[in-house]
Amino acid sequence: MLFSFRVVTLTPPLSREPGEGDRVSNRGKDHEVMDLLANLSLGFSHALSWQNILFCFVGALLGTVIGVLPGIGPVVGISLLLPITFSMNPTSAVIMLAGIYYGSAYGGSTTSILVNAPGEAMSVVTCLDGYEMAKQGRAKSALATAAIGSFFAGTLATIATSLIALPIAEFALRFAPPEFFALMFLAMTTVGALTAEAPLKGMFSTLIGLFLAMVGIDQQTGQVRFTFGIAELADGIDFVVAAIGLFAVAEVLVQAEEISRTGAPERFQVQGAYWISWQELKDSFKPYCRGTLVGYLMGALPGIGPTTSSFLSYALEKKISKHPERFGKGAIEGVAGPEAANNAASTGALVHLLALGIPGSATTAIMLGAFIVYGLQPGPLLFQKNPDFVWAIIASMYIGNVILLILNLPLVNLFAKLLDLPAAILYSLVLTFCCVGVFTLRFAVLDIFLVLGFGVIGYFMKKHKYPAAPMLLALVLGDLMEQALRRSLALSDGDWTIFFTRPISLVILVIAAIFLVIPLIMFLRRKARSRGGN
Amino acid sequence: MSPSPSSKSWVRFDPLLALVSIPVAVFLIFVELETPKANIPQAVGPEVMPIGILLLLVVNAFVLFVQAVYGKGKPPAAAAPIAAGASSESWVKKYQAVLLVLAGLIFYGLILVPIGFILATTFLIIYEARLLQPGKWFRNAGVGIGVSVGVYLIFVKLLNVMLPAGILG
Repeated sequence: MLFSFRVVTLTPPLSREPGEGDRVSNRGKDHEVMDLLANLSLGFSHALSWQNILFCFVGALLGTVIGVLPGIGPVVGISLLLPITFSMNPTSAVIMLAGIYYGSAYGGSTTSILVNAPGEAMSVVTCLDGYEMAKQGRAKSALATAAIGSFFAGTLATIATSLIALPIAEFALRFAPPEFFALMFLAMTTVGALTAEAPLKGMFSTLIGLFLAMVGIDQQTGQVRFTFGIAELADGIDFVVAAIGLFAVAEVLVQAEEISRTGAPERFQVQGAYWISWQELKDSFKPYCRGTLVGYLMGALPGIGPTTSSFLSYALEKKISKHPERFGKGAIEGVAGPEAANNAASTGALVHLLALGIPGSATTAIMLGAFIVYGLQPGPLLFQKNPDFVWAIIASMYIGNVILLILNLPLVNLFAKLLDLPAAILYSLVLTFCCVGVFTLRFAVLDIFLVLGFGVIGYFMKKHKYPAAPMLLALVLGDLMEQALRRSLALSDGDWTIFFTRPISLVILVIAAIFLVIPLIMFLRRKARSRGGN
Repeated sequence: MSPSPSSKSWVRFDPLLALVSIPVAVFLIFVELETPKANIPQAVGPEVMPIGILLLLVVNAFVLFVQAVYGKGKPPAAAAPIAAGASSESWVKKYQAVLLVLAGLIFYGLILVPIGFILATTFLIIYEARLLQPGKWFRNAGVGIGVSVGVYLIFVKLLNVMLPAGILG
């Protein structure tokens, strides 16, 4: 440890009953600032150990690489590396996984700008103006704009996370099982309803994931459910196996089908380090700010995520621009805003994961599963029981963003060379790591066949536009959700109105209902309009 | 199973999935109802949530089916490329690459323990790389041997995770 500071944490009652109405301490603003600084100091004291800096660097590096490589997203990268982290220190492991997560948002833009093929879904919109800039000989400016915007947004979003995560966790201390059930219900409805082209498909995916979470021994009664005599299923379906199958194997299967039909795209070469002009930086500053705000607010909502926020940011920039006709023809604002937005959203998505223990995307769902495997209790109590862990993660994000800026500015051409890696080698290596990863979970060959099964499911889901993220989220949260449901009903002697008579739970459920109904109404209206158009 | 041009992938896959899901979900509900319950007094038993999920799945699948059939005259744009592929290629040809990749993985699962990690993984890499890009035998073999030996050493020597040594052990 490099520093030693007094650590201020909350001191909640050890047990709480619903309706108790906890009152969080009434400290003044000065104390809150001191608390924040002390907690950040604690975080930095852990994050600045050489091991954690190393893991942060490895995570940032891998994240950039994963972002650059088409088809290999943060979900795939984190899924593949997860089994290795189980033998690591949890703090170092999560620092590395978080580095991969937000690092991929940096790398994704490189491919968008140089090849017009986004490394990540969140960088799709960067193609529109980034690639045009490259065609005009402004690739260096576009890459620098993206890297600086990512750093700017990533750092501001981390500051915002430092400021609001603890108050959210404090508020969430009032939550009892009914509120947690409502919150998980909200996460699933938003992800299920908002991530699919057709909400029904998202819901279908969510329900399948929830059902899969029910497989195995019931924790409270010991009853075996849906194992059909297969002993290996008694422990349930491992979320790592599902994640690797649904995302990594499925992606390789899709690529295998596509690979013979498409040739290698032309790549623009960039020599040496690069920078942008003062004027370009000035032009980018306001889009950076707006993109960060849009991205962070959207990222903090479950189900929205970096991809949607980057599109929203692009639309906003185009709408308020005095020259909207420049968009799509190399407007620097079209790169700056979305790149800031997707990085801010990536960081924003970590807020509810850390403060509430509720993931809002497939990647954060995997990270939540990892928390449980590491023996950590996700949720608001994480800030109290493991303050060193949470604040080390937050502190590492400051460090990670600096590392990413250093990595991405001068070394972009090195990363771009990864695009020259033959697809045959890349995807055969991914398949190999899929198999090794799942096999080493419990040394069962059955897991290799299970991952294949999930791969086939994921392949068909991808082909037919069924989102896999809700299924994975439901698989991770399903068990926790059932426990919350049963505890709630145990508290109310089986009275289901408990979810509607408690104000916080009611508000959350109303929000969930809105998220559930609005996309359905919009979808039905779209269908009706398209029919009317014929 | 040769669909007419109007009954394309959108019409085939979604209703088929829905039609399969409904009886499977109903079957699973009966399985859960028939499972002997532990004699532990509880406000809510372990069957409530699974049955609730399966009932919702039945409803969801039914609506999906109705929607897919209802909208069959105009498949959405997203489904069109799949549909176009389906009509011009035979089933086996369409999924040939996918089936061959899966076959390699199944074979890998079968030989991993008997012949050991290094040989099985070398085979897997060479096979899958060859499948995705014909030729380049030496390059693929070099990558296969290098990666499998490297990963084996990292796991066994560095992480203390045992991998099957097989016939080389």
